[in-house]
This record gives sequence, structure tokens and C-alpha cells, in this order.
Amino acid sequence: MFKRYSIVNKLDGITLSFSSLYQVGDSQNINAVSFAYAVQREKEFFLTSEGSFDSRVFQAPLKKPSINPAVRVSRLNLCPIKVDQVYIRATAFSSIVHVGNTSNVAMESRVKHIRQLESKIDEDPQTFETIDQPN
Amino acid sequence: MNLQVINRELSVGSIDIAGVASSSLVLIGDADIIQLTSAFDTPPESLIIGPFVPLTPKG
Repeated sequence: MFKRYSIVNKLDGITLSFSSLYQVGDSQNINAVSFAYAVQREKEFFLTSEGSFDSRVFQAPLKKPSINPAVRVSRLNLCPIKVDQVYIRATAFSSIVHVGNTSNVAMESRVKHIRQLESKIDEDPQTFETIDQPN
Repeated sequence: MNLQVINRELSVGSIDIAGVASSSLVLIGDADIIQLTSAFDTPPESLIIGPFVPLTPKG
């Protein structure tokens, strides 16, 4: 069976970050994993040593959706895929922009989200020094 | 079960995407198997109102 060509005239983007990639051409296997500990604070205060990937959301096994072997697919490819313009502003966190054919794709993402807000309006606002040395 | 697919003309003018993130895939082409898994957690302590305390560091 002949495979389809993918014809893209223009591929454009601004940002490509955190183990993301543009794949132009065919590939065989794709295996992408992304672990993110997302912390948002009302005040800018971040230590590099903070947080851990010990929690359940990162450690628990995730079952891949199963494939039904009873379903047999036969394709008849008569035309190529044509795209004039592609514009993707940002690609991040183990994401892939792929032009071309591939066979097996497995991708996994685990995110833990934490928000921290300041306590009360009448309290003294915290400074970096008081946060860093709480005692 | 047999699934017969006939791919005739596919022509797209313009694709405009703001962002692709968290192990996502934009595919212009064909694939045999795609398996995506995702876990997202905002635990009860995800919203902390109070003094800024550093999160438990790596043990």
C-alpha cells in the first residue's frame, strides 16, 4: 500500500521549548513523557529545591488505551495531504509537530497544579527574606 | 472486523494554533497507532491561602 505524502508549503512558529520538537519527514516510533509540577504564587517566590515527584499523580501507573486486534484497517490512498500554511505559536512540554507519516505513537503527560495566595490584606506583606527564613 | 478506508482529496488552506503543550501531537500525515495518557491533579492543598511556605523538597 502506497503511503500518502504530506505537502506543507509554509510551517511557522515562535517558540519551541521543553523537549518539544518539529519532525519533518516520516518516523517509526514516538514515545513522549512530560512531568510538570506547576506552582503559581501571588508573590514571586520560588526555590529551585522545592517540590518532589513522589506524589500519586506522578507515581501511579497509567494504563495505555488498549488496541483491539480484531479491527483490521485497510487503506486506499489516492491523494496526498495538502496544507498551504501552518502557524503554531508555541510548542512545549514534550509536544510534537509532525509532518509526515508515523507508525506507533505513545505520549504521556502528568501535571500537578498548586496555587498559593497571600493571606490577609491587613497583615504585613511578606518579603523574600521573611519567606526564606520563616523561623 | 474489517475497516476499509479510502483517502481521497484532502486539501487544507491554513492551520492556526496558539499552543501545543503537555505531550500533545499535531500530526499532518498518517499514523497506525496513537496512545495518549494524561494525569492532572489539583489536590485539596492546591489552593493555599496563607503564608508562603516552601513546598516539601525532594527527600
